[in-house]
Amino acid sequence: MKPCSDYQEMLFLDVDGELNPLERHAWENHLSTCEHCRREKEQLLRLLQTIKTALPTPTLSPDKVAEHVRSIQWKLREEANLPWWRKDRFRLPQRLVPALTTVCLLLIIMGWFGLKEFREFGILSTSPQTTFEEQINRNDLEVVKNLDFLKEMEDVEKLVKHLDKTDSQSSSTQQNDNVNYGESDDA
Amino acid sequence: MEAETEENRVALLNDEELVTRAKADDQRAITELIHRYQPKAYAIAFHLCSEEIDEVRDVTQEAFLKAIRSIKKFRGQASFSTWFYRIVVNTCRDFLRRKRKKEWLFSLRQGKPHGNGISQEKGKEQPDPKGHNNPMAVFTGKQLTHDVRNALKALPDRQRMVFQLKVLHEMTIREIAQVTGSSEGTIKSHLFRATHFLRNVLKDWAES
Repeated sequence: MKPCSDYQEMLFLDVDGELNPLERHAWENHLSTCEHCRREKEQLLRLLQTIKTALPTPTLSPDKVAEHVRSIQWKLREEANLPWWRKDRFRLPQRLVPALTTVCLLLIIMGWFGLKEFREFGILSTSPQTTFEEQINRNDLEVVKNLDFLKEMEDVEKLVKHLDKTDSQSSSTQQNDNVNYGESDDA
Repeated sequence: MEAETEENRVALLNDEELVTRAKADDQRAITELIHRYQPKAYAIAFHLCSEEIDEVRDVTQEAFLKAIRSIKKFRGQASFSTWFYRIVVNTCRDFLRRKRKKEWLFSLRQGKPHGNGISQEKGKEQPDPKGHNNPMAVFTGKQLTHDVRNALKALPDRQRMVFQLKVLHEMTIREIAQVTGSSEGTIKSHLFRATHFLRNVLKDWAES
């Protein structure tokens, strides 16, 4: 038989000895009229007693207690004599070790990729050639990079000028020749 | 002689006075606190985390060391007993976690399923609860102990802990709430569920 559902909480609180006076009054009134709840209460009390009997609280002999107390005191004295950095309060709590390891690994990985990016953009470098490059700005760097091309351009320009010169020279000699020929014909 | 009188005087002090002295590194007060709380701490550790004597000793010792190391941080908002039992319960939880991890790793190596952190062979060392020499009574007592342990083992950790603190250590719901750091409503709920479950599982024992 199930106890009355409205009084189930009171039943449990009663067997646990946790009913307040107000609740107790209402519960006792109900118990006086309800056979099922009375039986249920008896069964629960018997169950708790059975569990207590099955799991007795251990007791230590006075000698064992004294020995235990001595071992705690010895441990405390030993701790007091340790240098400060070896004391437990300064040690890293064990549950933090995995979290800290993960954070360190992440920092290393992020640092590695960050360093790679710095190198790609030429922001961070250690070689002497690049230190020279660092001193001049990006525009100058482009000019330096295209220096060969500029030199070639200069050469081409010189060549064109030279060709122009030779062209003009040849045309003037041709004219002179023509004049000479005319003079000779007239003669 | 003088030292003995001082020891007797310290034994008469209440917890608050002892704590005040212990904060000032008074070794006699610390020893008295250990003597005063050792049986209860041992019993809680025995029921909550292990029934192996060496393990219970280690857990109790660890709890005392933690408490004495941090006694200067104790501000007296709750009673010393509640504060100390909280340390004991947390030490038991840590112990169980470590033990389960070890058992899990061991089971991986052995290729066997692992238990729930509590020794499987406890029935053997347990004394006869009824203290009878009658073989039938001995058998019944052992069977009862075995059944009760199995039923408790089947409970979720929190429910088992709350139930044991209530029934075996006779703490009030308020004390359990302070010790475990949960609300009273949560403790009531755990307690009801655990009692309900045990009532169904141990029906035959309760009726006989």
